[in-house]
Amino acid sequence: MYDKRKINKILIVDDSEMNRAILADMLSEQYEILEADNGIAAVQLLHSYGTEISLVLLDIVMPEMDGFEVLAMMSRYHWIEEIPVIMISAENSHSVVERAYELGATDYISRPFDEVIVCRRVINTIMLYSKQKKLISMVADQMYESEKSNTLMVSILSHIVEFRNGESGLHVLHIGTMTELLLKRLREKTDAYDLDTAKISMISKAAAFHDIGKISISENILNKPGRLTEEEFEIMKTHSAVGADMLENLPLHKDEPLVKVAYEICRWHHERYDGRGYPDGLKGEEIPISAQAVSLADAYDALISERVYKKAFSHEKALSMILNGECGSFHPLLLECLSDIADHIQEKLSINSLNRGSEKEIHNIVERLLSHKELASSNRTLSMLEEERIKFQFFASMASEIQFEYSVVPSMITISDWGAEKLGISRFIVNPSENQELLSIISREKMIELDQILRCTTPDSPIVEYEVELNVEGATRFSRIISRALWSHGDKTEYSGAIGKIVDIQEEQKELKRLKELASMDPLTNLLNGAYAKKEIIHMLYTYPENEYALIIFDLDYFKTVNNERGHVFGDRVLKYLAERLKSNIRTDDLAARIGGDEFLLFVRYDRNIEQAVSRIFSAMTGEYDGFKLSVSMGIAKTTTEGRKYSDLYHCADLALFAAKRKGQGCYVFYDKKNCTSNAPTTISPIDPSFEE
Amino acid sequence: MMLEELYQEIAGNYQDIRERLRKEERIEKFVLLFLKDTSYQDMLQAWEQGNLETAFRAVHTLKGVCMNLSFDKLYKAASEMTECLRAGDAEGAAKILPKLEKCYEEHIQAIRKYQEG
Repeated sequence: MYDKRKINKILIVDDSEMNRAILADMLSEQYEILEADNGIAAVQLLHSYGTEISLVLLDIVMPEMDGFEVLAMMSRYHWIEEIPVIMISAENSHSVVERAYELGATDYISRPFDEVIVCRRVINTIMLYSKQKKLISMVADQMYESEKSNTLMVSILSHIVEFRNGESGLHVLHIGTMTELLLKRLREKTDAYDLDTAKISMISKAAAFHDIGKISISENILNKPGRLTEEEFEIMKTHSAVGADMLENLPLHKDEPLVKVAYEICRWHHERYDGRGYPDGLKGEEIPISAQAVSLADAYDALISERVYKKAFSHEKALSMILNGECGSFHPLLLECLSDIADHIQEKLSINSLNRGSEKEIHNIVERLLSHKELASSNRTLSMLEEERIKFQFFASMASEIQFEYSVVPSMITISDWGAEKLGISRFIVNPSENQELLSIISREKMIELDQILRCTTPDSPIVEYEVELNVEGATRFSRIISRALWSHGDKTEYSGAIGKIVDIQEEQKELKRLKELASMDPLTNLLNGAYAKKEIIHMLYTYPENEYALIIFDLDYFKTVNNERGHVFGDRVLKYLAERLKSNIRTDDLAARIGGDEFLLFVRYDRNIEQAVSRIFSAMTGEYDGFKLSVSMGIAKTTTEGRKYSDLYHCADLALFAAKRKGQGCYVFYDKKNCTSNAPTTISPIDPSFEE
Repeated sequence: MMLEELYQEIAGNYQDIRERLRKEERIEKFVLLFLKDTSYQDMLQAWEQGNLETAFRAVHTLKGVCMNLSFDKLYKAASEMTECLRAGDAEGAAKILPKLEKCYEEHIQAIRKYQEG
């Protein structure tokens, strides 16, 4: 039966069973107790129970993974923000206690355990945390509400301006998005402008105000389809200063950071880097970076949008116009940023279309919430994370796959349940490059190589496919590791680890090998085919210059008669039989190929007595098959006398074969200038056109 | 024999454990459980294998257990050993070991006697 009182789970982590038992005994009346006898087991339980665990009682000195390391893991997975930890230990030294607090422990109980103290601390801590959670969610809701109405006001205001301008309602959103993209990229290139996430977000939001001064310009000028006269243009130009004045004269709030940034943007978003803009003719770094970014974003969006006085230009055209200076001069570094983000702009702008705008705002708010340290994890995001965790675990458990997660700090690999069982190793592996279990599966070199490859990826293309031989269940398996590098999205992009899965491609490799073999085989005799033999021979001649070889070509005498008198099926059987005999009479390193209808090629290595070897093979090819007298004519060329060029060897062997035929068949002839004329016709009738010289 | 007498025999602090664990049955349960605690044997084994680090962790655990049981005398001996091993002082530890051994055996014998009534 479900026990209502025991709604809270407490995890006790201590290597001594006795100590766990004492604590469990004190707490089991009110709480459900989970126990772990080392750090790894604790992390494992935290992984599977997540925030269902209300409190952790954690020992410090333990085998495998000590208490400090558990705290580090908890902070890595953000559990520490949600699950309080009370340290327990006989260590009373200040440095130990201090370090535990630094790592996020909430409280500290020293041994020996006193029931009253233990119970009181546990209750207090759990209550404190749940109160705090409630508070966080209240504050988060309020912030969300106020952010929402702020954003609403800003977008209403700017839309009023836009509709009057006859601009599309998207302009304001686009400028905000572009400004954000530009500044984020700029921050990666330089820290000259002190741009943190909050500041970028504020500038992007304030960008919405850039044209509020246009409220003072008459509609005749604003919406004039043709070119403005000089006089009209002078009036138009006043909008930047007017907008800035409006903000400066706000009766309230004019000292708000958002308003101040909006002022900069309003006044100076038509200044140019070379000082030829308006209204103040500021130059270079005199123009605040906020206004510089917005002016570039404004120029781009104006080009790609249709206006009463112009058609829309394409993305590419707009980029080249800006980069060529047709819209005035901009900060060179910002132009670089524009080129860098060029590929993403269209995609991002289309995502931020009007109806999706509110979603983007919510996203921004969440981002902002997360950047507040004290609100590091609102309940909303936590419950979303929790849901994701459950989903992930569910899918991982259903998939019969080896999935893994690697983190750089602390250096650790987590493997899916199924995967760990399949590989016969633990789910949690600390210090993978030193772990014997893991090293019995993959070599250290390969592991390091994969890590290096992952580190060399970029956030834009983080996926790596790596093929490697793994030792699984005592057998070597070809495997493919598909892995994605994780790049942290803080103020600086940093490699923080990787996730991925391991796919067995043994069968795939086998099939590939089979296909390769198939392509190299003569289908009738299962000897090599001519084209493949040629490639191999050239390879061998080149790779083993110290070896001497003989290239032998032979054909079956009277084979035409067989085909004519007993039919092709019988002819094929004869060829197969001959091939079998050939195979059993050569060494494994020698090559045998069928290169024509009844012509064969042999490539054999010899040490001293080639004569004897040839004679032996020749005799083996002579005999009888089902009433047919087997007899062959053979021509041989040796590397010792004919050199190591394939075409020469082949040609000489061919001539020698011709000489053998002339001699009356059923014999073999070594190539010799005297006995073989070079104008003899080739005796070979290729079946494989690629084999012809 | 009463629990209190047992604590007298092994120079433990009955007053203290009574205050902390509150219930006599609970104290008895854990005192008897001490017979099954392997941290002492773990330490000896690691010590014989020359593995000072594991020996340190084991005697550290023993120390924690003794503290919880208010076995003051054994706690003191285990503490000394812990500090020696923490410092990696094998020579010092070798000197202390016989004392710890004797003390541990006394505890085990006394608890067994108590168990038998």
